[in-house]
Amino acid sequence: MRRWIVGLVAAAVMAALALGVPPAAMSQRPGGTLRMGTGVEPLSLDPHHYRAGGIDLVVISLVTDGLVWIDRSLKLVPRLAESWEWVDTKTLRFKLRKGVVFSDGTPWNAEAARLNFERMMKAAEVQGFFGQLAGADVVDDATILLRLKNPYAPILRNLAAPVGGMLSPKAIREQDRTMARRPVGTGPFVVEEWLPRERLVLARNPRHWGTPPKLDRIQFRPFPEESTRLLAFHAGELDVIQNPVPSTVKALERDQRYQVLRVTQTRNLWMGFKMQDPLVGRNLKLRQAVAHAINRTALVRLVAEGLAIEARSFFPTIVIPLPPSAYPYDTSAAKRLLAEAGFAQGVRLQLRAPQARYLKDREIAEAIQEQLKVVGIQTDLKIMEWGAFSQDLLKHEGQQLWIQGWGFLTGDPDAPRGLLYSGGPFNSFGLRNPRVDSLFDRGTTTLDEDQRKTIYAELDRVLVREEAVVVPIYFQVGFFAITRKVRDLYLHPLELIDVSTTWLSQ
Amino acid sequence: MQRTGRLDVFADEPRRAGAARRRGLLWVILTRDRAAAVGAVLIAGLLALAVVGPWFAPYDPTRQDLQARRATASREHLLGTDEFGRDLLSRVLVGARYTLAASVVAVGIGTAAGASLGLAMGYFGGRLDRMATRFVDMLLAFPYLLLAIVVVGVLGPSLQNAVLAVGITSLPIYVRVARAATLVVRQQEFVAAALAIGGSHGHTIRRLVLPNVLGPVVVTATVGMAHAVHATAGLSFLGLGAQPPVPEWGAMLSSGRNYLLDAPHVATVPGIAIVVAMLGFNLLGDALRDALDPRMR
Repeated sequence: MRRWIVGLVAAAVMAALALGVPPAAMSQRPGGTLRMGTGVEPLSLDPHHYRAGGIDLVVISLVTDGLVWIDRSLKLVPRLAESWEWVDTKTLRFKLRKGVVFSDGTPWNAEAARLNFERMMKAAEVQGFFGQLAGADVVDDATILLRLKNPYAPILRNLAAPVGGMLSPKAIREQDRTMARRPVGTGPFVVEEWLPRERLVLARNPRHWGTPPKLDRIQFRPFPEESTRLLAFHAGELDVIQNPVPSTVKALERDQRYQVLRVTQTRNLWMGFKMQDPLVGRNLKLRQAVAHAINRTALVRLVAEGLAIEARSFFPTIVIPLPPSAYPYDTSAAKRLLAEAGFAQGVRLQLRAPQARYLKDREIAEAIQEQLKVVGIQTDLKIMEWGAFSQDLLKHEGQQLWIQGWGFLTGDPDAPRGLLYSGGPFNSFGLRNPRVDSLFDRGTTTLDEDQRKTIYAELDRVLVREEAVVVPIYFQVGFFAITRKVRDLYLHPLELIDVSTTWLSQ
Repeated sequence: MQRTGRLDVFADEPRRAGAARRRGLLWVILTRDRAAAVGAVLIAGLLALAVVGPWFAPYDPTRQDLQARRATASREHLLGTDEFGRDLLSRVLVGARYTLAASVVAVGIGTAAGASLGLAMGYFGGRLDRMATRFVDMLLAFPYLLLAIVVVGVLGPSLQNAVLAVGITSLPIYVRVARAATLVVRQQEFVAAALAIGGSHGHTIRRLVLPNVLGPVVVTATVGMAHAVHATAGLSFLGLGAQPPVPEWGAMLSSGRNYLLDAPHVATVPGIAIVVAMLGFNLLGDALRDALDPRMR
C-alpha cells in the first residue's frame, strides 16, 4: 500500500514536470545575440534621410522612437509622447514623456522635439510624410505645439512611422553627416558595429526608457542569395531568416526544428510605365495592351508559389478596402489594343527588375517577359542588384517598364504621394497628372474616413484603369523562418519586427 | 617586288617544314594520347551541338510553361524543366552556341589584340616595350574576375560586354606569350639577313616572325578557351553576363541554384554542360601544347 502511494506521488511529480510547471532552466532567460539573415543591407539608417523601406526601417525602428507608435494591430499608441490632442484642424498638442534620455545621454524634451521637426521639414526624402509641417512651438519642457500648413489627416500615422524617429540634438549638431551610419535615438537598441556587406550589430541600449529588451544584441547579416541565406540558416549560423525561398517554405514548416511566421503586409508589387518616355508615356493603348497581357493569377499562384495575395488594385486592400480596378488578363484584347496603338507588327520595350528585393522579383520579371512576348511585345530585360537598381529608378532615359514595390509604411493610403505626385522625390514614373495631384490633396485634407475611401477608390481607378500608369501584381505577405530557440518574436504588418519580448531558449 | 620574291625563298623554307612537322606530330599525339582524343571528341561534339543543336531542340528554349515548372526528366522533357517550365534539353542545346561563340570571340579579342601588341613589343623593343610591359604587369596584378567585373561595371551587364571583359582580362597572357616568342625569333639570323638585304619591317614581321610566333599563341588560345568558357559562365552566374531569357549556361546555373534542395536537376544540367566543355578544351589544349612544345620533342 505504502509503495503504491509513493509510486503515485512520484508519477504525479513526473507528470507535473513533464506538463510544464516551468523549471528554472526554462524561464525567459535574458541575454544572447539574435542572428538574423536579411536579403539586402540597409542603405541609410537616418530616419529623416531614409533611402529604402525594408531592413532600413526595421533597424531605424529599433534604434529610434517616434512620438507615437503603431502597434501590431495597426492602432496608434503613445511612445515618446504620453498623450496628444488636436487643438484645431491644423494644430496638434503633444505632452512628452518625462525622464527620457538619448543613448548619448542628451535629455529628451520639447526643444529636442522642435529641432527634429525642423530637420524633418528640411529633408527632401520625408516630404511625403512631413511636407505639411509648418513649424513647432515649445510651450514648456514637456509640451510642444505642432502647426500644419493645412488640415492633414495622415500626420499622426506618419509621425508614428520609423521616419518619424527622434534623434539626439547633440548628434544632429555634431555628427549629422554620419547619422546614416550611426543614428543616435532613444530606442531599445543602439548601433554597435556596422561592417558593410558583412554585418550590422545592434546592442541593447542601457539608457532606454521603456522595459529593457531581453536580448543583448541583434546581428543582421545580408545574404542577397536566397539559397545561401537558407543554407546558413540550416547550418545554424542564423536564428532568423527574412523571406526564405518560397518553394522551401512548406519544407521549413514541416521541419520540427523551425517555425515559419507569416503576416499580411501593406506592400504591393507592380509594374510601372515611364511616363516621360515618348513610346509608352504618350500611348495609352500600348499601356493598356501591356496591362491586359499580364496574367497575375499565374504570377502569384505559380511563380510566387501562392505566398502573396493577388492585387487587383494599386492600394493594398488591408490599408483601405477598394473595388478591383486592374485590367483582366485577356491576350486578345491586348493584341487588339497593340494593333490599334500602331504596333501590329510588335514592339520592343525595356524592362528592369531588381533582384532579391521583393518576393520572387526576378522570376516575376522573367515570367512577365514571356507573357508580353505571347502578345507580340518583346522586352530587353535587365536584372539589377537593388542598390544599383534604386539609384537608376529616377532616371528616365531609355527605360520604359520596371518592377517595383511600395510599402505603405504608416498604414495610410497617402503613403505613395512621393511616388506619384508631380515632382515627388520618389516619382520614378515621371508622372505629372493634375487629377492625381488633386485627389492626393483631397485625400489628406479630408478627415472623414468614408469620404477618404471614395477619394482613394477614384485615385486607384485613375492610376490603374483610366491612365494605366501602373499594373498591380501582388500584395506582399511577409514571412520569416525562426529556429525553435527563438521565442516571442513577432512580425509587424508594417514590415517591422517586434523583439521587445523576444528571448532565446537553450 | 623583285626583292620580295627573293626573300620568300629564304622565308618559306623553315616555315613550311615547321608546319608540316607540326601537323604530323599533332596527328601522332591525337592518335596515341587517349586523353587528347577524348578532348578532341568532346570539342567536336560541342562544335556539332553549336552548329546543329538548335535544330534538334525539341522546344523553344524560352517558351515557359508554368504548370510544368521544375519537372524532372520525362518522355516529354528528357532532361526535365527549369523553374519556368522551360525545357532544359532545348536550353542546353541552344546554350552551346552562346557558350562557344562567346568563348571564341573572347579568345579572339585576347589573341588578336594581345598577340599583335606582344609581337610589336618584342620586335621593336625600346620605349614602347618598356611602357607596354608595365601596363601588362599592372593588368596581371588584378585577379581576372575583379578586372572583368570592373569592365562590366563600366559598360553595363550584357553577354557582349561580358565577352569583351573576358577578352580584355585574357590580354596580358597573349601579350606575354607573343612577346617572348618574338624575342627569340628576332635574334635569329634569317631575320637579321632579311633586314640586311632591305626587307621592310612589315614584310619581315608578316613573313618571318609571325609564322614562328603563331604556334605558342594557338596553344595558349586553346587552353584559354576553357578559361573563357569558365569566365563567361562565371560572369553570367554573377548576373553580369547574359540577361534573361538567354539560355547561357552560367546564367542557367545561377537561377537553378535557388532550387538545389528541391529540384537539383535545374542547376545540375547546365553545370555538367560547363564541366564537359571545359574538360574538352583543357584536354585538347594540353595535347596541343605537348605536340608543339619544342622541349617535349
